[in-house]
Amino acid sequence: MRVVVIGAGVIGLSTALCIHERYHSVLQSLDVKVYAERFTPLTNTDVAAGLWQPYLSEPSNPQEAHWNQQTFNYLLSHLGSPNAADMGLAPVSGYNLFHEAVPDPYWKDVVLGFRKLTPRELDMFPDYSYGWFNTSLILEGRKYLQWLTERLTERGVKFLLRKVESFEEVARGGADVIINCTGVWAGALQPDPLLQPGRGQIIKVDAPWLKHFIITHDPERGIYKSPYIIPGIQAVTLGGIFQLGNWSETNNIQDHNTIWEGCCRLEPTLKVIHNYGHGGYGLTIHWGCALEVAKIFGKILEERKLLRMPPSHL
Amino acid sequence: MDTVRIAAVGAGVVGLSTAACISKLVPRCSVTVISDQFTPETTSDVAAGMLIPPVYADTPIHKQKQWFKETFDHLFAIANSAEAEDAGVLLVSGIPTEEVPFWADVVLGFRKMTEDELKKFPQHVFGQAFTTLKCEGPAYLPWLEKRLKGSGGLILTRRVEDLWELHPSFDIVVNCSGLGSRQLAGDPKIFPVRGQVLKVQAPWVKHFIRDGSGLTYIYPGISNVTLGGTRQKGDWNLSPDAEISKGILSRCCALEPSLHGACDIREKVGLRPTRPGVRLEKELLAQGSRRLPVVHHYGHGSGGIAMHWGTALEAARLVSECAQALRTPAPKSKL
Repeated sequence: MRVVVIGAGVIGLSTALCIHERYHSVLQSLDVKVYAERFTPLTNTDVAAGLWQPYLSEPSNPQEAHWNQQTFNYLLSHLGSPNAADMGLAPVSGYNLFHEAVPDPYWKDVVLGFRKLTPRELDMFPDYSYGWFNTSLILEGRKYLQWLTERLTERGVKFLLRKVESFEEVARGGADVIINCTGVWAGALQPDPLLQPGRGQIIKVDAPWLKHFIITHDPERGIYKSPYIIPGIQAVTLGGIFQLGNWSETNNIQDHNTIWEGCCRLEPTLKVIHNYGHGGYGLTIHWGCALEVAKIFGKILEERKLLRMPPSHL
Repeated sequence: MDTVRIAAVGAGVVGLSTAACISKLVPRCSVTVISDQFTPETTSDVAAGMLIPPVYADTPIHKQKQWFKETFDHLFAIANSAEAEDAGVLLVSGIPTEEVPFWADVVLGFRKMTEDELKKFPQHVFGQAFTTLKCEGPAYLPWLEKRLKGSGGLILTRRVEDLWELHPSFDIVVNCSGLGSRQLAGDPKIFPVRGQVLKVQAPWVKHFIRDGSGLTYIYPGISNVTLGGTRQKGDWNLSPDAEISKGILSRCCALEPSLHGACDIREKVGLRPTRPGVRLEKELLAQGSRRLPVVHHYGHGSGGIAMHWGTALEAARLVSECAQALRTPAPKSKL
């Protein structure tokens, strides 16, 4: 059984790992390869701050809520390990801020200690009058991809730097199953009118006294168009840009200023060091999706009568 | 008497903050801080600086709460300003245990965790969560010194063996010498409680964690994480003990396994200046015809940073009373 995963961001690598973990011992032979044009540290995943937090409103596909929760629980189970930090994983607490009262999010019982902010806490943020406090998880994209790459390499999964022009070309090369994890560029392999880039720009700064995430919300502007501050393992990510349809991968001065002014207003203790980037979404949901793909893969194997025994539920 | 000359003995967090409060509150005075130890060599530099107060057996609870609240409010304002990094003050959330303490409503968001939550984070199996402040000596003390000099205060490096050495150059002495008061104030009630800690690199740790007794703790700071600790009564030894360091690392790794990846481990020792209660009172020293008004301000134990500003405000008020008495001509001054 030859599997080719196209894409080496969080989705591609976690899917490859999920499949290999579940089916390696139940198949006579399982050969998994990852083809991608970009590997860490050049993927979208590498730019993301990596905070586990879904959008506020319920997803149109209720499966996504389930996958989000599966991802959280999967990461939680790794917290007690000495290697959690190697994975880029750490618990983090913080604030979601609003200009007016809003209903609780559907994921309030997934995170830990969800509660409303007290008046004294809101005093710290004079532009906002309502908010939540909860403990969630950080999964730093770059570290996680390095960790996934190590796990896959240990398992004999090969990585190839390749620009894939079509599924046919991969099939002709000898793939039995192709898993398309090409993210924002999926349209190049198969047109998808529903897929658009949601361009994000961020600033990474050295501000190690910031131990909490702070995410503001402005329902009129939309998600991630309002300032946010997310501490990572080594640096703090400042953001607040989400532009549908914008494919530009270069830094924009206006966006930089928007982020910087918004975040300094939110957190006066900020001081800049360096660096720019661009942003995305995906770490929150990746493992749930990978499990889903593994299930689909399992069905394919069953159809082709390739399974010696039922797959283990890892 | 025109300018009242005030000497503050001791340059830890208590000495410097008292000098700062006196500068602000006592009219027409000069303040000089005198010490043989300065940052980064003081006990305050070793402490993690968490705003989690201790309990003083001899001090009424309402007074402890007042001191803690005044300190919390003072540092909270700094934490939310552009000075936060310079002053070494940051906001930290975490999970310790204990019943509801007297200071639960001074810190932020204090609440008990639910059964569900406790089940979810099995290794952090503790009762409560809250957000408090951390105030780091190596940054805060220089910040205080800068402020003091800015308002005309002076700093002198000198070992004081006897408070009378300060007479007649100074009119009032504020004694903030911590353990030094055994000698300087002849106080047998003050004794060291030795604390050994490890300062490590583990930047992924964003929460503080403490066990039930508070003996084992993990306090993330601006540029390192403090792991602790010990409470060794009557132990004056300032050299780190390798066996103790191993024990601290092992206890902390049990609470937070990811600490196995901590690196750049540095051992530090501080001697907490411990007393059944903070000594905060006036004393008029007399020798023949010489008089020296002294305000004692020492004995904060493990609560130096947590209580410093509240007690410093009170010490400054006592100094003000002494200054007032010196300025009032009277047949016999009643201090």
